[in-house]
Parts: sequence; C-alpha cells; structure tokens
Amino acid sequence: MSRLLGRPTNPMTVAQSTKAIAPARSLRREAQFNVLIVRCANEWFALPAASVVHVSRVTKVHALPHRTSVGFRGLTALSGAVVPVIDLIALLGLRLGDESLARNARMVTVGDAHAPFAFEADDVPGVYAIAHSALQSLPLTVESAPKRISSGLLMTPHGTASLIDPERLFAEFRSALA
Amino acid sequence: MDLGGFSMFDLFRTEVQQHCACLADGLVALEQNASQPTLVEPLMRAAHSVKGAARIINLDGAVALAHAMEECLVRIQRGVEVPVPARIDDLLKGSDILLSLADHATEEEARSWLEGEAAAIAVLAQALTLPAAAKTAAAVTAPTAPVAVVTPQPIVAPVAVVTPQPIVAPASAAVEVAPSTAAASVSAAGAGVLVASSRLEKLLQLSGESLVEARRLDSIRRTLGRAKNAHRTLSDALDSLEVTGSRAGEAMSAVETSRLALEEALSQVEEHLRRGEELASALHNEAVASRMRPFGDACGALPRSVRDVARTLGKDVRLVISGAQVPVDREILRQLEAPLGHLVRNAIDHGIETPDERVTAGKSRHATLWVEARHHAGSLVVEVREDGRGINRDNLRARIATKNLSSAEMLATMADAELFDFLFLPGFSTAAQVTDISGRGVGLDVVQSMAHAVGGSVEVRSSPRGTAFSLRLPVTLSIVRAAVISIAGETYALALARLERIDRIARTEIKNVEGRPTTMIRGDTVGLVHATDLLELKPTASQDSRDDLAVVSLQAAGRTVGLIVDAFLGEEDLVVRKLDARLGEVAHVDAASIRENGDLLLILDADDLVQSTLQLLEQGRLRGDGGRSAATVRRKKRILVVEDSITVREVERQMLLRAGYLVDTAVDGVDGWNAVQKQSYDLIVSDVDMPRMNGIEFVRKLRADRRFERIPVVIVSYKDREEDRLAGLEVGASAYLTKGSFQDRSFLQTIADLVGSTT
Repeated sequence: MSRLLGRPTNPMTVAQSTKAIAPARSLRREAQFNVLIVRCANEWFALPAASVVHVSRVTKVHALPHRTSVGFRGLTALSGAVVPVIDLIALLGLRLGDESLARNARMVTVGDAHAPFAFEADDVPGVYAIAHSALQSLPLTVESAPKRISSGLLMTPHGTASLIDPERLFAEFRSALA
Repeated sequence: MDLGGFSMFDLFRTEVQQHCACLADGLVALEQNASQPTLVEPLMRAAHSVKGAARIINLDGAVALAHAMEECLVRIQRGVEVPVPARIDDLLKGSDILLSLADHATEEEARSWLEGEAAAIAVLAQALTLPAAAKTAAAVTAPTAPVAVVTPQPIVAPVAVVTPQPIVAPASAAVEVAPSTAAASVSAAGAGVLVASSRLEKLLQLSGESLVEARRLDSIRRTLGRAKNAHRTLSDALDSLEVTGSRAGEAMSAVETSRLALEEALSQVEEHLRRGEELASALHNEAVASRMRPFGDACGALPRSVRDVARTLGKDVRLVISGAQVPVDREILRQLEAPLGHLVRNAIDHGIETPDERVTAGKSRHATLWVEARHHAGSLVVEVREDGRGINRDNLRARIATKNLSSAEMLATMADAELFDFLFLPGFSTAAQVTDISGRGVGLDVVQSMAHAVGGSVEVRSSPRGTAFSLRLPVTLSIVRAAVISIAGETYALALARLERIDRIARTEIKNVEGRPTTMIRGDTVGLVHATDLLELKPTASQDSRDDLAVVSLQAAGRTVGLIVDAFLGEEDLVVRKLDARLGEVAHVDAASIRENGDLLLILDADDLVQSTLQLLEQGRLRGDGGRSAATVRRKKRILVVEDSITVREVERQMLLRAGYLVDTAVDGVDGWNAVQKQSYDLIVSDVDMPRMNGIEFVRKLRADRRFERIPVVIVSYKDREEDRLAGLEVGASAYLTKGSFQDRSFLQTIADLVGSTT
C-alpha cells in the first residue's frame, strides 16, 4: 500500500501536513480513528479505514450487458476476484474534476472480503488519524439530501472532506447493482 | 405430489435428527431448571418443526405424536403444568420414537415400522394430552394399551444419533461444501478433509492471480532483452570509434562489466520467470483439481438399482463399472447421478433381452451392462453400454411417424444419428407400456438436458449386438475451452462446445431476406444478428466500416444463428468464475473469467443468445426489421423463501424452481433480513414460527423500511385460525396461506398473481 500511495513530496504538502499533525500532539490522549482520504472529481472523502479492503492500481473495467444503471460501471479483476465497479462520481452526481488537479488514480476496494465493491478515485493521498473532536456536523442542505452518504465533515491537509458512512455508501452501491 | 428425484425422506430424517438432539438436550436441561420457561420455547419449536416435516410426507402417526408433544410443551410454558420427571420421561420417549422413525433407511421401512408402533404411539400421545398427575391413572385404566410400551422404559436409539454431533459426510464425499467457513475438519475415515467451498474458491482465485503475476515478469524480461540489444549497439559503436588511451580502456571495461551484469540479470529473470510460471501453474492446477472427485462416487447406487430392476423384469444382468477412479468435476458428478440412473434403467428395460430371448438369439443367458468413464481428447466420456438387442429402427421410425414428428419419406433417408435424436425429445418413448422403471419418455430427455447444461453432448450407437449411450462432457466446469471474441471493443468468450464454427464473411456475401441479413455458410443459409443488438451494447465505429465480418455460428435446439462480432481473438482455456450473486441473473452472460494478462472477460451463454434471438425476431425487434431498436430482455423473477424447517423450505424451493423462478432461501427472520440487504427480490415467502426473528416481526421490519416496503410477502404457516391470518395481513403481508396450499395450486397461483409470470 505504501508504494501505491507513494508520490514525490513537495514542500507545500509537508507544510500542510505539519500544520495538520502539529495540533494533534496536544490532543494525544484524545481518541482518534483512521480514515483513508480519497478524491473523486473535485471532492474529498474520508473512508473509515475498517471499511477499506485494499487500494490497487487502476484496472480495466468490463461493461456488463443489459446493466446500464447510473453508477454501475461493470466488473473488474482485483486480486484474482471479480469485483463490481461503482462510478461514485455518477452515483453522487458530482461535478467533474478540475483538470489542473494532479491525477493519481487508484482503484479502491471497500466492503468486506466476501462482498466487495470497487470504485476509481482520482487521488488517494493516504491514511490519516483523525480526532473525534475534529468532526463537524453536516450542513442542513447536505443532511437533508436523499442520497446522503456522509455523516460529518473533516478538515484534512487537502481541505474539507466528507466522512463517509459506510452503511449508507454500501446501500447506495447495492441499489446501483440491482 | 411429484417431487422428481428429490428424496423428501432424507430431508425428513436429517431434520428429525437435528430437532430430536435439541429435544433430548433441552428436556434434560428443563428438568433440572423447571423454573425457566425460556428453556421451553426452543423445544416447542423443535416439536412444531418435526410435526411440519412429518406432515409433508404424510407420516400421520408422527404428526400426532409431535403435535401432542408440542401441546404438552405449550402447557408447560404457560405454567399450567410443571415439568415433573414423569412428564420429561414421556417427552423423551416421544423424542426417542421420532428418532427411531428417522433411523430407518427408507421411507417404506419407516412407514412399516410406524404402523407397527401405532398403538404405542397413540397411548403415548394420549398420555401427553393429560396432565402429568392424571397420566398414570389413564395408563393403568387403558385396557388395550400394551403394558410393555406404557411402562416407562428407555427406547433403544443409537447413542451416536441422539448425541448432538455434526452430520459427517462419507469419506468419498469429503470435498462436499461444508456448512460454514469454520475450520476444516477431518472426516471419520480420515480419507478426506472437509473444506468450506468459499476457501477453495479463494484458493483458486489467488492461484490464478499468482499465475498472472508470475507472467508479468515477462515484460521485465523483454525490457532487459531490449537493453541488452541496445548495449550491443553501444559496444559496437565504441569499437568503431577506434579511440585509444586510458579513458577509452576504462570505457571499454565499463561496457564489458555492464554487459556481464545485464546478461546475468536477464538470465536470473528468465530463470525466475520459468520457475515462477511452473510453480504458479502447478499451484493453479492443484487448486482446480481440488474440485475433482472419483467417478465411482456417482456409481454407489448402481449395483443395487441394477439388481432390483433386473429382478423385477426377470432379466439376468452383470454390471461392470470401469474408470471408477477417473477424476470428475464434483458439480458434474453431482449432476450425473440422475442421468446415469435413467440410462441404466433404460438399458435393462429396453436394451437387454430376457435370458430365453438371449439364448434364442445365440447369446449367453447373462447380459452385461458396462458403465465406464474415461478421459478422451480433453473431454470426459461416460458410456453406458449393453450387449442387448439394439434399437429397432423400424419401430423407431413408426413411432416418430405416429407422433407426426416427421414424414415417412424423410424418415427413410435419415441417418442413424438423426433418427436417434428423436429418442431425446421430451415425452418421446418407444416403450409400449409405461412402467415404474421406464417408458414415460422423460429419462433420455433428462440425460440430454444435463449434458447440454454443462456444455456437453450425447451420442448413441446401436447394433443387434447392443446399444451404447455415450456422454461427452467437460472434464471440469472450472475450466472451459473457449473462443475469445471482441464485441463493442470489449472481450467476451463462448465455450467451444457450444460453437458450430467461426467464419470471416465478406460484406458482399451478405444478402437480405425480408430485410434481415443472411449469408451462406457451407451451403446453408444462416440468419445473422449483431451481437451488439442482442447484448444492448454500443457498436464500435469500425464495425460498420469493415469489408468483412467475423461471424460465430451458434446452435441450440437444432437452430443455427450467426452472431456478428467485432473480431475473433483466438482460443483459450478459461478459469470460470461465477458472477457475483448480488448482480442476480444477467441475461446472456454465464460467467466471468480472468485472462492471463489479468484482464476480465465475460463468458456468454450460447443457448440463451439463440433463444433470445428467436424471441426478438418473433417480436420484430432486431436490426433489419425496423432498425437498431433496443432489444429488451426480461429477467427471471427472484423469490426469497424464509422458513426454519428444512423440509418445508425444500418443498417450497423445489416447487418455485420448477415453476421457473429463481429461488434463494433463509433459515429464519434474521437470515431473511440479511438476505434482502444483499439481493433484491420480487417476492418473499415466509413462515411465522421461526427462531431469532419470527415471520410477523420480519414482515413488520420489511414494511418499515423504505427499500422493502413494496416487496410482496406471502406468509405460509400451519396456523390456520382467522386471528393468525389477520395478524399476518395487519403487519403488511400480501397473502396468508396455510401449508395445505402445497397440495393444490393455490401456493403457485398466489405467487403468480403477485409477481406475474416467471419472467
């Protein structure tokens, strides 16, 4: 995973990371949880680490005949298994990504080992430890949205990220498969 | 009720053994903790389930006994009665009787035994309906009751059965699916190990992936090869410069050092690649082989069956089984049992003569029936052969003509292979009489259906010296030899066994007939369809601009269809991967596979493609008849059966499967709730009395969830009181049926009314 997530480090990133990590020192005793930060289009998401199976290089996705539901791309081969691939950007109706952003696309497999889903993220900077106190509530407009998959907001070195509620995410994924 | 080859008694036995183990343990615990009513509920459920299972196979004595036990336990739960030791004795005795019933090898033996025990069971059932205090008096005053039975005494039952223990599969079935992913356990005989099928599947996946990864080294080898060539060019260039001096010497020395290093690296990579491929291939082959079982495992019932059938028909038959050790894919082996039985019965009934007839024909009195398995040319060949009278072609022609299946003129010109094909038609039989053994014309139909279902074929040879039915089947369902094709820019495959041929047809050779494209292939006019139309895929721009087209000819049910694809990419052995169950049934797609380069492809279902083509042509929805209109393909309806009784569950499942639905099962409300999270269903059939979450709670939970509130739910229960029915309908069930509905058409009719036809 470290190689997959590795990339040249620029001073700006180091400065941002330092800024983000430094306050954590004073909160050492506070409970933290790990999240995998991913970017899809213009938005950053934080996936609870326990819901992530693995991150791998981008693989070819094969369309499935007669299945054209929004959000379902098809099937791919990951670690010798056939895994359904979800188009998170289409599923959530996200605005297309900013071309100027660096693209380090990765295939992210989530769920459990027996019932995995994969989606392609435009960038996967890595796993971060987040203090519970850093969690902010969702704005009303997001909280009331019918397809809400987030349970809160987090400040990360890359900007504001939506903390994904895995159960809601998987429910959306399942409905995309049907 | 016609249940085909399905043994209800076997299910009944399994269920009763499980529930009696629960009763035996629970009753003893209840006796020791009489003040804990929570201990009674599982016992009530066990008695209730045994009653239901016995009712399904009409074992009335067992129904009455289980009912009396259930009623007695209800009284104990309500506190009306105290579970005194004498009462526990009665209940244990009831459990022992049920267990002894289930201990019989066949249903006939069990019925016969039950009849013999009827009086004793009636007395015990009567005793269970009376309060414990009155029981002794009733027993004493019952004049007809045999004293020996009424007197409390242990009824002999094998301890090994009473003791709760996992049902151990016979050693020969050691690789059968284990019930969970729990740790593997060694069978009693030590000849095999039970491993969860999910583990085997994972092993297969990882071994396939390791092969892909090993082969990825080849690209490094090629890069090093290019570096070596470039190095040689550089070295030659340096030589041609003809420079002298110490710097030139150093350069030449460095070039030589790097050449040696490159050669060594290349050699090491080649060695590593070779070894890696060998090991990964060996590992992969072993993983595939773990699905295999010896052919002999499918022959266990044959000696008894041959003996019984031959005795019934007054024939003298010697059975010879050869190739018992030939490895066969365990799924093929499972599917082979019924066809083998049909072929053997047919051979004895139709093929083999009586001893007198054989002597008259100059043969020995003893007929020989060979059942043989062997691997031949990459296929498994299973042959059932006898030295009987052979197929009478004149009789066969007469039968075909009588049934108006062909004209006499055509029949006269038919070759043996064409003539014998009629034997496999559903409902076709040459037998003058329908007997218990054969003659209904369903056996050979089953044989051919099974062969086709696994991508194989059946061939018949016959002479006056005997007849042979030869099944050519794939050695394994794990690997399929397939034609790899490209459709709409993506890779697909079709099993070679299902293909007639692949041709490249010049566009000029395509002629329209009534607006539909056709072409001549080997003298036959074949209708063409675009694979992209059938699969609802967007065609690539290049497809319509090429001068020639790749056409794959498929045959199903005697009809040939030419499928236009982008390109034929070659032949490959593909490891078959089932599609994710969450996707449900995907029209035209049979499975997936991962190629050696790590890419995924889809294996198409040839039969389904041909059937859909015919359907869509009838409906005028294919290109050539109104343009490229989308071909909509209906999917089968999927039903979830939630039922704790294995017997009832299987009855429902079998009925629904036969009616053409896709069926999943769950063992209680919790299991059902989990199932609906993973799969979408068109309808749910649920019992009421179930452990963990009963049917009423389950329906209430479904109706409270936006995702499931509209799924029709049919409750099927033994409870037939009006208040029970209302309770079910009030929580939102769409229909409430009693289990008696299995006996008539109301069960299937209700389901058809709620979800429409099967597709």
